Amino acid sequence: MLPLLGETGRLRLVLGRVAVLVASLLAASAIVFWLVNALPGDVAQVMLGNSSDPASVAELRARLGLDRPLLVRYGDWLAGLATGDLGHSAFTGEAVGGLVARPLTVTFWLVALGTLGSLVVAVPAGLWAAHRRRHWDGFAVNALSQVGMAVPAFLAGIALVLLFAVNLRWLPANGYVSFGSDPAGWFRTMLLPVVSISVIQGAALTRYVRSAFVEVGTSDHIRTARSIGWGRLSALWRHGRREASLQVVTVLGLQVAAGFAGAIVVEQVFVLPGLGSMLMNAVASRDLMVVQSVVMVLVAIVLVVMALLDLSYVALDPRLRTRRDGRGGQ
Amino acid sequence: MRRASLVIGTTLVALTVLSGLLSLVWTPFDPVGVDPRSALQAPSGAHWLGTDQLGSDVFSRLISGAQICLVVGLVSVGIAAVVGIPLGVLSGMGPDWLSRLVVRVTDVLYAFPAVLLAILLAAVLGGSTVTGLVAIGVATIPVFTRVTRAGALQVMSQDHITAARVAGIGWFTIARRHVLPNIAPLLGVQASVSFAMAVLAEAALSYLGLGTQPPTPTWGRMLYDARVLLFSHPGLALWPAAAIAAAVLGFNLLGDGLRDLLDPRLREVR
Amino acid sequence: MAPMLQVRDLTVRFGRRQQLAVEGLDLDLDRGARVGLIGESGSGKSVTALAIMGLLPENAHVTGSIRLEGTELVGRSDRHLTRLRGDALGMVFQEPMTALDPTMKAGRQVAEVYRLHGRGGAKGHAREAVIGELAAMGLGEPERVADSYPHQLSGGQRQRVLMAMALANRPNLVICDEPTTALDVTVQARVLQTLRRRLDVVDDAQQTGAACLFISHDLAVVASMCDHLLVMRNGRVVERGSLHQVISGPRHPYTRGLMATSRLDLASPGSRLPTIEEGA
Repeated sequence: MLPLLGETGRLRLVLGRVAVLVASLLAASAIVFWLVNALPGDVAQVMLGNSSDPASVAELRARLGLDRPLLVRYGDWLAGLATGDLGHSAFTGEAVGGLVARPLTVTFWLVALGTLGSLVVAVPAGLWAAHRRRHWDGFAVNALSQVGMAVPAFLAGIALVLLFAVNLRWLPANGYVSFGSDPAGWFRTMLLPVVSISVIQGAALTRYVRSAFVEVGTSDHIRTARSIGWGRLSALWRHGRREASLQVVTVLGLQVAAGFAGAIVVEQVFVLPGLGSMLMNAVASRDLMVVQSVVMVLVAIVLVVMALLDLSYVALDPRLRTRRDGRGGQ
Repeated sequence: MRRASLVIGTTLVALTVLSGLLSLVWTPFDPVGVDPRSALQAPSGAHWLGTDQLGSDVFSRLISGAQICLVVGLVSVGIAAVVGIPLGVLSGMGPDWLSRLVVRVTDVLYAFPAVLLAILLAAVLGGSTVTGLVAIGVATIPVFTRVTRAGALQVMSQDHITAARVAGIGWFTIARRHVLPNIAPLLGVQASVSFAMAVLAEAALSYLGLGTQPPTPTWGRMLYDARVLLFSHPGLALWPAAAIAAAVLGFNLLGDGLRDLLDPRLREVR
Repeated sequence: MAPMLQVRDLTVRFGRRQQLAVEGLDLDLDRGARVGLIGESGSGKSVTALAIMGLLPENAHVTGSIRLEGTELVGRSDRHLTRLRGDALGMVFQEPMTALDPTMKAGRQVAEVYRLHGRGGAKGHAREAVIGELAAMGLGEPERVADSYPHQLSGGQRQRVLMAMALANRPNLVICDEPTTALDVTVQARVLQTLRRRLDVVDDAQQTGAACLFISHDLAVVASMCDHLLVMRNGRVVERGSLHQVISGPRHPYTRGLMATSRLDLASPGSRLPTIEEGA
């Protein structure tokens, strides 16, 4: 798909982006580690409660390895991450890597299907809003997306539960069935959470898609396309979608990041055993290793997705013009 | 339509700010007052919007909730602006390597939504208003950096700036006299939109229990508490939900209206 | 006999403030006629062209009458005009850098013109027609051009691709909006020559070449292409007549000024002389 680059150029580009990815992952791991470990606050003390005696606090600190220098602990953690070892829970002593596997699949599908759903909502809606932006229906789509952006994801979840689970009794209000044991049940339990993420993310994405198509729509080549006989809408779609998608791809990485944030909240609403629930439990019990490793896993996924999107960006644009500044705000 | 965004946005924002200010000096009842005997009352002359399961007055809690919403919004956008704008100016005006470095760093920050940062902070410090506003503020930094950088690059490419640089005027003076005044309106728009995002994030954090702790009234927490009574007392969820939506919509529309007012490209008369 | 294109009292206003762009314009174009529309930027030339094509932005209000072969175009649905554009009506735009889709190979963009109006035929056939059209536009390596993205082509090549798209279906009327302004002088001369030759290709049924409305701010260029001239200023036609009449005896002071500046042009080497023989 890279029409201009030779084999070596393509390789160099991919390697360069991978190098940036590795550097970003290192930086992200430093942020995660220092936020959790360098802040004032004695976790051992908190875990044992205020009335505990100093000796047992010291013993717990030693057992958790909290008495070693920060830099050594960071190095250990990083070396572990590199080999796939995410550390051990302070409470159960279980390997975080093992604990993470099942919740990760729940959250992964929630975010993946939610992002897919938001695209399914946003691309037609945004195209229509751009095409009809001087008419009442285009205005209505735009206004609706504005309202959709003002609704917190958990509120959308609550509203969906009210309607489909309580009033209509079509779907379960909460709970989770694994895909392996009951595919139909899995679908029924995942549907409402996925829809609430899709609707909220889709509203924000609709606005990006709309403004991308509005901008592309004023460009000269769309007018040329209409001058050879394309209708207004088909010219926008046929000759505008590649350029518009370049702009949308730059915000898709942020959408995935926002999707994880939304998933954490939506998992609470629907009581899904995903990473969000795992994180909230770990926060409640101050299980720092679980918190820092799970957050790192989420951030790493977002960074990898951003890198992949950057590479797809190059494939989409034959001019290979890298417009990194096009990345939109949240 | 341009006018409509501005008018509706300003109205909703003013409503939020006024209820926040009003609640500082007067509320019909104590917003954190508990009275089990008068729990779950329907709206009445005394309790305009009824009472919740602890007997607190919903209207009093609702207008007091605007305080936290505004404080978190103001401080977090402030944090983001104070850190993000200088970074953006630096990368827009500085040497190429610095510019790239700042872009890479902001890209990493983009991977940390406010909820994740709040989880990291709350794991050590516990949830609090400060946890929430720091997390939201830090998560908003990269947006400000990017907007400032893009604006600065654009200003720096103008002829009179080139002339000023040739004339030997220092970069700090150029930043202060040319770059910042030129991008101030852009930053105003961004502040308004980021404020909306902050209100939304604050609601999510209080819902999760990572932000402001009870009994301080927040809209997110009111929603969390109302969730178990959704079917019997839907009004308890309706009011905080409406308040959140109104504030977010208000700041978003205000930002949109300002943007349209500033952007002559959108006028489209050839 | 009614002219092929008859424009009466064309008035175009923009936006809510009803800003006037073109006022009371009349224009007749016979089969095979070559009419130049000249004026400074902002005088309403391009707006007139886009009004005839029906390509004005949605905030434009068009009144008056535009009849093509007797059919009224003002107030027609976009769907109806879509069938005419690229078939009976062709337009060459002025921005060779941006007027082509940057994400699509040039050949496919030309092929679309056939396909859209049901002239594609089999896939291999369309490709052949595209190559033929590009070659006729004076492109030396039509295959390579067809397989290139616009950014891989020179300005002159892109302009020729645009011309190929406008002329692919042998339209009866071709509107050229400053087609050579962005090109340097020597390329400009050769592109104009090609355009003239392609416009002159005689239609089997009509026994005339395509009619052309040629828009430019450059009197020398218009003189080399047209036999009639309209001069526009501030949205109004201030002078009209045959090329000879206008050049030899300009009546409006604005036209006289235009003549003076274009005479200045004559002094610069390389530019074309606005000779009367050439246009007549």
